[in-house]
Amino acid sequence: MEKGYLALVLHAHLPFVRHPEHEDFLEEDWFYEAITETYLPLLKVFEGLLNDGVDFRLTMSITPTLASMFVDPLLQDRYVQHLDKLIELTEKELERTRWQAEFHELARMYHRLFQEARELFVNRYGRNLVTAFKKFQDLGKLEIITCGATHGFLPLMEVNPKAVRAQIMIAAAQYEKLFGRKARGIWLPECGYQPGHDEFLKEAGIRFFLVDTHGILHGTPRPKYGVFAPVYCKSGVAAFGRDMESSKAVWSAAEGYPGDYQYREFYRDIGFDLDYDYIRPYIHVDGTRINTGIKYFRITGNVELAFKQPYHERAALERAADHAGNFLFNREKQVEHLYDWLGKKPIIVSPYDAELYGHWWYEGPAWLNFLLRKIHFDQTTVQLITPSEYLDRYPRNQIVTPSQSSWGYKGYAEVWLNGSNDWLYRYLHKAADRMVELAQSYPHATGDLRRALNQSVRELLLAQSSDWAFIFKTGTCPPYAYKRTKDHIERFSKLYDGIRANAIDLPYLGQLEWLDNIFPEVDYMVYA
Amino acid sequence: MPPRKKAVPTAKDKPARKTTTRRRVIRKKKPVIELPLKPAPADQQVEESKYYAGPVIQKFTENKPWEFPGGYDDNKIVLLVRDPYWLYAYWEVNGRRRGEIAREIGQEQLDRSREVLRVYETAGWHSFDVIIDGGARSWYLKVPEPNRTYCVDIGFLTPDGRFIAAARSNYVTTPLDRMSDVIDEQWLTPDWERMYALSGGFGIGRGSEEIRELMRRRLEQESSSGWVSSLSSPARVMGERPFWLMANCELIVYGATEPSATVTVQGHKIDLRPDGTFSLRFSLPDGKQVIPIEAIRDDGAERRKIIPQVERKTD
Repeated sequence: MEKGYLALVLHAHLPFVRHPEHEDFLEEDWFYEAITETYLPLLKVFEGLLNDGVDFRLTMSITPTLASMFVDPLLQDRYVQHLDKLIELTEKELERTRWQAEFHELARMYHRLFQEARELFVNRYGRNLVTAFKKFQDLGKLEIITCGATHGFLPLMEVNPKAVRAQIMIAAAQYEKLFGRKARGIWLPECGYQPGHDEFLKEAGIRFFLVDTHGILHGTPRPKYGVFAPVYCKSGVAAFGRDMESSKAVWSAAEGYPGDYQYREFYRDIGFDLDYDYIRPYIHVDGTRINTGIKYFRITGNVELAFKQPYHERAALERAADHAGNFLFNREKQVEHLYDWLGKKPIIVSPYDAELYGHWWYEGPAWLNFLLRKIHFDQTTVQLITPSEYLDRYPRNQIVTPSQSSWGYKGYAEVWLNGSNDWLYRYLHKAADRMVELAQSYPHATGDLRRALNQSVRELLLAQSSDWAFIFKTGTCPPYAYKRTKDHIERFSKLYDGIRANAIDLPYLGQLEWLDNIFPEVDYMVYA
Repeated sequence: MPPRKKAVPTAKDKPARKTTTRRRVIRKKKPVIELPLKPAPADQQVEESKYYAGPVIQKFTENKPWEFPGGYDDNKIVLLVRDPYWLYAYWEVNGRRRGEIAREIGQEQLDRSREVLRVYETAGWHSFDVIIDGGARSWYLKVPEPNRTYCVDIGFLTPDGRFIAAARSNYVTTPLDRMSDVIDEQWLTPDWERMYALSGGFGIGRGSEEIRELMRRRLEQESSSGWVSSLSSPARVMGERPFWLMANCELIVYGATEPSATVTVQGHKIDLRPDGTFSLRFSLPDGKQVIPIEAIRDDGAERRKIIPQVERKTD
């Protein structure tokens, strides 16, 4: 009989990076790399578990921006082209490395990997990863939750609650359309919770959300079970808090598993290592070296990149199995201890960025595979669960208003509100206010006016992505984030002026509908 | 006028003042946007093409350059919560409101007034003032207590000590930075400190950010678009390090024969280009390589063999 539960939550998110106006756009590579390195490997793990009759539960947020890219035909086609070039490159690599067995083996690994990816993506999933993930939700193994429409950091939108509400309602509508049922849960962007926002979740039919540890711990009144049981907001929506101990095992750069010396080194990529003329056809069209995803070295130790040793897949996989065993052992101990101390079965909620698995930590999907199998076969103390299942089983929980919080550095809004990015909010707030004004001024618009109003919503939403503020914070000169913010505010402003002047520039509107085609069914009246 | 408590932040608390909204000018050509006449069909098979050729397109150029406006001629102040101890305010006082105030107190008084943020804690309407100089339009405000509701007036402090508000902000509530004092008697635990510790309460604000920042920084360094502005140099990925040298050897084996012939190199059959030429590239490790190259005519009647030998020795 189990003594407690583990809810693994993967937050899969990328901002909307789709640039039909360029044949080769570097930021789109974020998406292609994540498909090859994270999303397809996760699906492969799920398929394997299913084939082997291993029961599992996992929760995954697929943000509306990511889901939009998954179903976009242009990006689907471009991904296949991207893969074809990688396959061509690995074919050359097979030849080039013929006299070096250790690298030849790795070239074969990548060749196989990319061919498998193509087979899965094109033939098995018909290029649509939404339906690929949905299958596992329909089978009851995976709980897919939604997120803010464009991952806007909601506490900093608080000054205009309608903008907050729109981020949630548009996300919920997209979820229902793509996944064929209502969203039961949401990953609030950056786990940014502001008391009261749960009312909008309730309105959207959402039952639960996730907060960082202190969101629960600093809630009012004091939470009896800490983060080891959910709490209900006054609205009746449940909040689950992040467990710190299990988080650290994976997240910490110093102590976490991903830093192990056997694991693949991220920064030695043949896109940078090999002779320029040779690699030229596989890097950016302008000749800039980029990561290809083909990496032949392991972390090795605290040594310079030049002294890294060749990667050994087998040794790395064995280490991943060890780490999965270690993680499970620690969870068993944790659950037993908590069970005795709390006098009830704890739930341990462990959220991670999905892209950490595979993209950053190459062996992450393998680790997850080992972990899910070990949980199924090797013990009975810890049972996997999704938040929805937990609430069905344990509907009685304490009523606590969680504290305003985020999972960013220092736990509040500083990552998205500091000297590098605070200037954004003047423009974002103004655009949101204007959107509300437009919706209230033109409540029954039809035809071109309606098109212009709906496109205004798309531009506003895209400007609101927390990713831009985050990039300003982490980089010294992040031109892409600046460009994106400026483009969308500009487009919004021009649409606004056109609507107000009763002079909508129709060719311009058509261009924007083609460029920023997210949320085709959006209804601007969500802002009224 | 509510009772007022002077609590000007100390120099240590005072955040760096911002004088203007940060702007970056990006020099680039006018973007040429290509507009399709009709969207590409969803299942269009384009794998065979090396680059996306795209549907039939027409050129469209965005003609009017645009920059973030300096303001919106609004009269308002907006307050945001950064964390339990810091707020951020941005504001704009427009000419109309300034004119009203000038009529109320006299232009000369207004000219001699100082721009002031008056921060209220709304439960008791205690307040403190922050003097704004140099035309700042935003400010970080240190507030004394978490879990309190605040609002801020932007206004003018006259030489005779009168405060004229130009605009009042929204109300915000700062979060708690510790366990609540409120306890529900239905939900008691014998040891709150232990619960807090077991839940990881002493490690708040750490954890995920470290790796997320590394991940994101990598994306920026290696994937910034060339056309947006200057690129980060690939060398930056390596970080700062002392003088260094890296060298490696590769060997190119090339040749030609009849296009219909079968060619093997070291026993592996290779593909010929349509004109019968071939080119192979090998990473060359230390040691000796014997590289037999053999061509066989398509009818099998004739064969030619060349056997280069290469030795690499690195000292």
